Amino acid sequence: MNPLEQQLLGLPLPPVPGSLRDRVLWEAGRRQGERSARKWQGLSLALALAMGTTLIPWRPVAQPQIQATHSPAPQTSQVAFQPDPAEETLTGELPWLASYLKQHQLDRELQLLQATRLTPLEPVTPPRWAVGSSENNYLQLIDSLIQSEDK
Amino acid sequence: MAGMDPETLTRLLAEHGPRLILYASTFTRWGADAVQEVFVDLSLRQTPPENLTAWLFGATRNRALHWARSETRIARREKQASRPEAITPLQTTDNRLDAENALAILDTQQRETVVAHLWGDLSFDEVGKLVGISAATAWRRYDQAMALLKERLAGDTQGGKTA
Repeated sequence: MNPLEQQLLGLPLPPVPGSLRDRVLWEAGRRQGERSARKWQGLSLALALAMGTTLIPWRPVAQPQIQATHSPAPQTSQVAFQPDPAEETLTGELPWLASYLKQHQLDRELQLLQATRLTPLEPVTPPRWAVGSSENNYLQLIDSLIQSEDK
Repeated sequence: MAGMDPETLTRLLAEHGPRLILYASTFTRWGADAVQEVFVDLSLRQTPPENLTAWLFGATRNRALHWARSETRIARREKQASRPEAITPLQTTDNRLDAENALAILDTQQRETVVAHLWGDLSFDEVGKLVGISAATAWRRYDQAMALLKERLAGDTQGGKTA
């Protein structure tokens, strides 16, 4: 290092504002907290979705049925779902849970599982206040759509 | 907590903050703000960069250039609104010669090369990668800048300006 460089390095540098450290720490803490919260939210959502799709009484649909509903050309990994009227209780849908309950002799929970029947939704009936109003047509339309789906 | 702990962040800020502010002020008046963003980015990394100093200078350059672009847009708007006094050049209130004043005679390219090599301790190869030029060009710019600074510092010393 030559004398000129040494001289330059000896010159005072611009001062770091006193508040800079506080601002950095505050903002870093906030952003790290946000990211941590987002991670937890993502994990919770993934778990909820995983549990939801497990608990909802759906079954995989065969590929020809997908084509019949004018869906895009299915790939081998594609899976679609539709209600299974053949299954009457959750025991049939959740055999792994039933076997777990049996294994651990959780009789009460097993009974609840066996008793939980998969009943179709009640048809929507418009409330009294809506009869005759402009919304009535929508409610009737929804009702007829749901009933046609049930059939 | 994911990311860097406050103690490490504070230590790194004390160690690198002044020279990074000097480097950022090559491009913008808001050098400290640019450096703040760099350290926040650093705090969010899961693993520290392999070459921390080079990373800090690179990140500071990007952030400072971003601020400079905003500055230019604001200046353009203010000019259109006929209020040129809204943006003023960097003013110094102290007559004592400091690094920032000494480097004021250099153009942006020379100045950033000098700060990165001398204060940042980056090799000419690293400076070249940082700026997007060859190591030889980085050396040439540095050499030209040092010649100018030599005259400047000699003049200031004769005038008794250095503290």
